[in-house]
Amino acid sequence: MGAVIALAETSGIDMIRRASCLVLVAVLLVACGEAAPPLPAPPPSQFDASALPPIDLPRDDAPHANLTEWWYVSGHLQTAEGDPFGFEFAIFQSIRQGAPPGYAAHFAVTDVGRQRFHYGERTEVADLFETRPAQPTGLDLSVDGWTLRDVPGGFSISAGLDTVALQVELIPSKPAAVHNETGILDFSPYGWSYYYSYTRAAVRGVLLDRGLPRPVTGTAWIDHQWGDFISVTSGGWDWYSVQLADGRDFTASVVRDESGATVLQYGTLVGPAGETRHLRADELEVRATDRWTSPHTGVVYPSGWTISVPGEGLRLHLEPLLRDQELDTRASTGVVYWEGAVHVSGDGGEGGLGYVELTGYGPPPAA
Amino acid sequence: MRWRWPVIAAWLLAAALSLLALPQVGSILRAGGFSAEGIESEEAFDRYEQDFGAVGSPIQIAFHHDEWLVTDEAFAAEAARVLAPLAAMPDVMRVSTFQDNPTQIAPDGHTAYTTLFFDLHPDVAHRIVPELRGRLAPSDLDVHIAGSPVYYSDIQTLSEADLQRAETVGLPFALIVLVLVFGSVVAAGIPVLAGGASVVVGLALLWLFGQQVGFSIFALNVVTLVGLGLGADYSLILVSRFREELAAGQSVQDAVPRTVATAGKAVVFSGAAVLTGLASLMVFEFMMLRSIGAGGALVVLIAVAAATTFVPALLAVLGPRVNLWRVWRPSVGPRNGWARLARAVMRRPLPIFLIVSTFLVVLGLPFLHVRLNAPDARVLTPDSPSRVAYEFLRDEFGEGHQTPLFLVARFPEGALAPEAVTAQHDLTRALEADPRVARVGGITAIDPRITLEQYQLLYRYAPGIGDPWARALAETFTRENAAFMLVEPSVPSTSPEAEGLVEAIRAYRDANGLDLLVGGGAAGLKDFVDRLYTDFPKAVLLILVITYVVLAVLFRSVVLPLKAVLLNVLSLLASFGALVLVFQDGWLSNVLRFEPLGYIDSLLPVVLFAMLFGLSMDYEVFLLSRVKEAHDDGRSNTESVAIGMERSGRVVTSAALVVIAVCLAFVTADIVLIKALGLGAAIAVFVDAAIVRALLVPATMHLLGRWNWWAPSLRWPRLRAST
Repeated sequence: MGAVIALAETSGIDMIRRASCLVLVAVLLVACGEAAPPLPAPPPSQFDASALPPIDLPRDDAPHANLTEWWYVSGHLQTAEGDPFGFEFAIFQSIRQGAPPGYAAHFAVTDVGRQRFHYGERTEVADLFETRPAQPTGLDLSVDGWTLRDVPGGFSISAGLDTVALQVELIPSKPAAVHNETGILDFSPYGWSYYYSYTRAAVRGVLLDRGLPRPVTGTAWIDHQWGDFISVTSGGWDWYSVQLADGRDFTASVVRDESGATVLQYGTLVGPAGETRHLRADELEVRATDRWTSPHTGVVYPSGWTISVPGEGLRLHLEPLLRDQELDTRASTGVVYWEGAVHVSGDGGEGGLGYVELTGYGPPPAA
Repeated sequence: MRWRWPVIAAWLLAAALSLLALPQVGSILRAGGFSAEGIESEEAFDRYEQDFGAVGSPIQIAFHHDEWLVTDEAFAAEAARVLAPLAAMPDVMRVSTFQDNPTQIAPDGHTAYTTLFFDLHPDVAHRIVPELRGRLAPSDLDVHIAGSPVYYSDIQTLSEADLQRAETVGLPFALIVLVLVFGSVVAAGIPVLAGGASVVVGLALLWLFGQQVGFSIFALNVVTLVGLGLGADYSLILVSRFREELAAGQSVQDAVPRTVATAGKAVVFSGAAVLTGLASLMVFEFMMLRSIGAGGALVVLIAVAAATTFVPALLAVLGPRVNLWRVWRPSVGPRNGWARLARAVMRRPLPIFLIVSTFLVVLGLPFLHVRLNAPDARVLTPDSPSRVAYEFLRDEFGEGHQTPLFLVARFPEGALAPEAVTAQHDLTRALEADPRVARVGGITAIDPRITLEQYQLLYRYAPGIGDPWARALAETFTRENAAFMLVEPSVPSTSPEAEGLVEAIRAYRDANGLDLLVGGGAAGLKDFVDRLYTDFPKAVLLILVITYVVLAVLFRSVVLPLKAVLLNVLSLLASFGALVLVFQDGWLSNVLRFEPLGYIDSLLPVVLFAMLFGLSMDYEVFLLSRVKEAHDDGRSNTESVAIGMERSGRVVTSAALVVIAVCLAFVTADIVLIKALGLGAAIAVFVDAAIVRALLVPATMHLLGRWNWWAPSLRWPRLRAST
């Protein structure tokens, strides 16, 4: 009988199990459905410079939708009384997916006669709902009241600080010079960019000097660079622009990695008529001749340079018109850098003016 | 008999005291209750709180203006004015405005929301919603309040309204059925009185125990449905038997004890079966189910106690006056129609068994395409404020914005180390390439044009990160060794695609050896349903085994309880199939006034199974009790079945009608889960009482013949119960 009980109990449990399965069968069927598709492999993101279209001006003077873009104007002015001034005006545009464009602007004036350096910075985030064309046809930038616009034949800038303001027109006298032969720079892993310059532009306008409007004229250098590249706190670059009295213009860039080693070096020589010659790293040599320690930040910068282009018989000496031309712009672009007006003299008797920019020497941005 | 007045007084006193506690019942109810140990989405949440700090309970205050842009001063000023009194509430721990976080601004520019984080446990956060709403000033902006606490606050409000409506509809409906059954208002009033007392005392005890343990918002309706249904049902059986005894010439002094000894015993066994089912919910780790189980079991005990003490006491006092206020004169006692039906069925048992079984299986077939998921705001009425707010934000911000997945990762080398950045970058790119994903948030989701090498460079000098975007994201999405990502699905969180996305992310995690947990949104829903149906078989087995044992003891048979259990499963399957047709596929949705979800609330089969297994088995138990009574008196198997049908037919039909009436009253509920519980219970009871009891039981009893009564020679407890 015990066996019968066991059998009955067993079959009973079995029946219960089967009954339970009846209820659960649908659930199990659902659970045993097709497996969910896996996450797809992301598309490769390989940069191909040959796929980029060439620079098209004046259309490309206008803003683009790339990660980073800037317009950089630097130049030398002279008042009717002959007082020399240097100036720098830059607008930075930063675009990230899903966020409104962010803008920063730097404005600096070097009062060479009084050996004073004035600078300021502004930021602005575009209106979230501003409808912007994918490719604007004109240049009309404004950062909290500081503007860069196109005008017939050139551009205009307007910016001001407490003691000094500038409102001038810039009329390029040479065609735009594209750098690196194609106008495209590949500085992987940081990214890539388009880069061209109006290396010589006539400046005319008004400098408001401590409340006094003073007509000014002069010569400016306009850089425009945009692309999918990022600025990081590691490494940096030295940038030199020279406008020689004989009508030639020259620029050199030296990009360093975090160890200070040069990772990219190139230059462009622009003839009086605007013809360009790309200078490879081995065709130019840059050497710092002095150092200057900032009393504001403690940062040590090179101060004074010799640039040689043996192939062109050029050996230029660049001396700052004022040592202290440092900008602490950590509130806008997060960096401390030196950008200043320099005097240029050549071993061959050449004379001229220039501007130098030094980044990557400063302290890291505040955590 | 001796203690009739003290018993009545005690019940009336208990009911009166309980009425005082009723207005407070809502205060102890808790939202949620869907968390359990070992669930990945829960672990993800815990890990987030460990690494990033407490989240609290977020509530979104959404603003909209047809003409003003969010960036307009007027919009900002008006929003600030509305927010000020809300942000000043004592439990607000953090405020995230749309000015701080542009992702809280809708693409059209006319809608934005600010999130208030309350330092309250999610289970109780819904209690502050009335005050929050009270502080809302009239505004030129359209203002909506959204978030889980608001959802649960509406659930509670609707739940209480549902309850009142169900009681308002159910009690008179049950009374009408009872008057029709008994023909006397007094006799009909007793089950209503007992059912009402069961519910009132049950809810008061819920409040009392709720001071110590958590009870889900949903327990309220389940306790009422079960209490009202069973309280009335059991009392009906006793009143019916008492009237039978009186009609048979018994004195009141003899009829009452005999009623308790027979019908009362059947009620105790029936109650044990229902209690077993509901108590099986204690198998689950989820507070929500455990509290429904505990609350349900509590009210079953009270209903049984009312039927076996309060009702006999009333019957003893009333005596023959139980038939007072006669409306009509139904015949008392057995009817031959049921016996004729039983004999007819037993003449062709096999065809009837096959046809009816097939019919029930066909009814249950829709359950094969059941899709289970957790409910969303659509379980509320379309005009519920939280549903309006949810749908408004969904339309403005997209499907997954309100219910994103969050991925919480740990990297031993640091969350911004190159390897960690690589891992986050690769996962971000894979997610962004997936059509099921609308948006990804994280340190490597600044812009798809930024390469892995660039991200590594951006974060290389942390905390001195130069790029403002990268710096802000690092501050938001990383801490030391921890990082998290937000994934907004492009598909509804309750969709199979969203569930597949969760599986895909976890598979990616496993394949790449990441220490990453996936929580939030669809992951929480999926984990809940998975755990629910991991534990469900245990609960089913428990119910089946205990029910089998209880019935085996009652019937002293091995085969009868097995048959009863199997037939009950069949009637439940039919009920489940009907629920899929109605609530998943939308049949009769216009008539029943609800929006089909396209799936079945995963709780429904579980709660229904637990609640109904005992409830729907009642009628078979009552029938078999009478059959066994006849068999024990020496009748043949066939004759016993016919007599059993004859003697139990009327009372079983009446009892089923009462329960169906009460259950159908809950179909008027606004909350879909409660509506479905009511309808499911009504269908299961109908199938059991009308089809299983009338056709399948006689057919199978005849087919099994003497095997019905086979039992090993054990020392079975001597029990005799009958309706």
